Amino acid sequence: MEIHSSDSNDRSVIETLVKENLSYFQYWTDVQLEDKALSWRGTDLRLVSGIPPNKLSNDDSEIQREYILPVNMTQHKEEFITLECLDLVFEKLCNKDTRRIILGIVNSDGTIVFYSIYNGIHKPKKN
Amino acid sequence: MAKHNSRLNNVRYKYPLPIHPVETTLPLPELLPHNPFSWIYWFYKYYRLVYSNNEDNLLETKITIDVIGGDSFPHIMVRDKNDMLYLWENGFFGTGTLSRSEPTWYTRMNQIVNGDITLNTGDINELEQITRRRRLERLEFKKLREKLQMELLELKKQSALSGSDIDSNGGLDETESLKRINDLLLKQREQLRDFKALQESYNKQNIGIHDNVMDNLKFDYESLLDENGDLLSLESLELMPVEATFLSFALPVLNITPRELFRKILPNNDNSSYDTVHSFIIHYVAYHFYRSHGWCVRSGIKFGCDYLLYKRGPPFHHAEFCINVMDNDPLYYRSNKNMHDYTWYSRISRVIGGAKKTLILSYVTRQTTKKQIMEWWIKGQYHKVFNSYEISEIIYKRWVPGRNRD
Repeated sequence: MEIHSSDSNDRSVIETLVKENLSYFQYWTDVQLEDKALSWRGTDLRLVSGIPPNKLSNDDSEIQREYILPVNMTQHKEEFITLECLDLVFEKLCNKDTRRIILGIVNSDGTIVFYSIYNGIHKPKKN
Repeated sequence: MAKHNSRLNNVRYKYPLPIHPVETTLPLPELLPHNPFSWIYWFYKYYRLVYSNNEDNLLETKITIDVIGGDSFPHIMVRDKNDMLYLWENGFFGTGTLSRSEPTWYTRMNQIVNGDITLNTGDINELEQITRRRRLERLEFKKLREKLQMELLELKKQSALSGSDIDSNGGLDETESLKRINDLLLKQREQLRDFKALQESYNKQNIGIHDNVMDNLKFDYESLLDENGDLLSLESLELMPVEATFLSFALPVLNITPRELFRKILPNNDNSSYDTVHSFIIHYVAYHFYRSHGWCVRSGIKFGCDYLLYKRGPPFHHAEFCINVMDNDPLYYRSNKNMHDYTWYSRISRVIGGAKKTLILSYVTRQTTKKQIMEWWIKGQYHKVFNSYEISEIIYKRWVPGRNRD
């Protein structure tokens, strides 16, 4: 895959879109870009973190800080995020006790969708 | 609700597209039935208004877009509040980045900041309020269901215990405890049904339900205000690449030429090979095709397809059809990566069938050589490029012998 010189700039755009969506549309608080970065296929991946207004799963004991990995839909389709990549994200960008991250997939039609990814096997959430 | 608003909607969404050749310009001259000269003059004026490219036909000022994210992840944004509204009201172009579809963030937030409404009351007709309400209702329902399930579990435990003790202290026998469990189950079902009915009746009367989550919300409104205490306009309207192309190539609405636009949204456009533009071309051809047949075409990502077709637009009806753009090039299909197997078709058709929509596979066929296309593309003769594709459709529908007999 060819790496564009403006890649880091392009990446910061989707990070900003995810941050704005969480802060102003989903009413998350204290949304920030994490410092730790990970180089994956020539791109620096960073997580966005924030505190949601309610528990994201019934299995959580309390509201906790959540970590979001912003991805562009085109990347998602190209299978940019592989198992290996997720392992690295859990290993290098998260704390030891982080159970899940959230994939924030930014589409080109103005929408962002969020999916949780758990580290290892996880009991299905109680509905 | 739809009925109630339909008259207002008819006024607000009067125009199907952002250009209104006859209406915006000077009125047509008077037509005098007994005077043939007035007819000729009328037709002359009409022709000039509708068919010629004179300046009267254009918007007063074209709409400016801002392309962010470079050519690797292009996102096409309209920032001006009036432009955003104009594009939404005239053909439903774009999506508000902080709203479900219509860019309503500013209005919603302004009401909250001014204290007119809180997050859980307010105009119940706004889409975002409806979503919030439904989520809360489901949450309450699930809480009740969980409570009842615990009760049932408790009874089952008890009867299991007493069942094992039958001999010693002569407790309930098995049939008796089974009957009790069944009775409770029936009672609970009834209770849940009643609860649902109650929620629905509240819904009809527009009675708000209490939202603890939103009460506890520590949302920092101050950061949203400028130095004068006015709400900042943080929302943009995002246009899909095909929408922006339509508004630049097909209609003179955006303040950008198609060539400039493509340079910004397609990778390496200057020395592009056919493969880099192919996917974009077939998707645009399909978009243009349905738009020019009068459909309102919007993104179909929610249902895992390319486009949704609305008869008029989202406020009027649900979308009836889902379009998936298919490449009709046999060479393309021969490569394994692009092959769709049965599960692919099954998956998409079950999702769309579940939403009570019809899946249409829209096959786009190239009518000329790749070399010819690229010659035109590089010269900027995009009408020739897009004209060299043909579309044919197939409806894909699950057929169940038992159910579809009559």
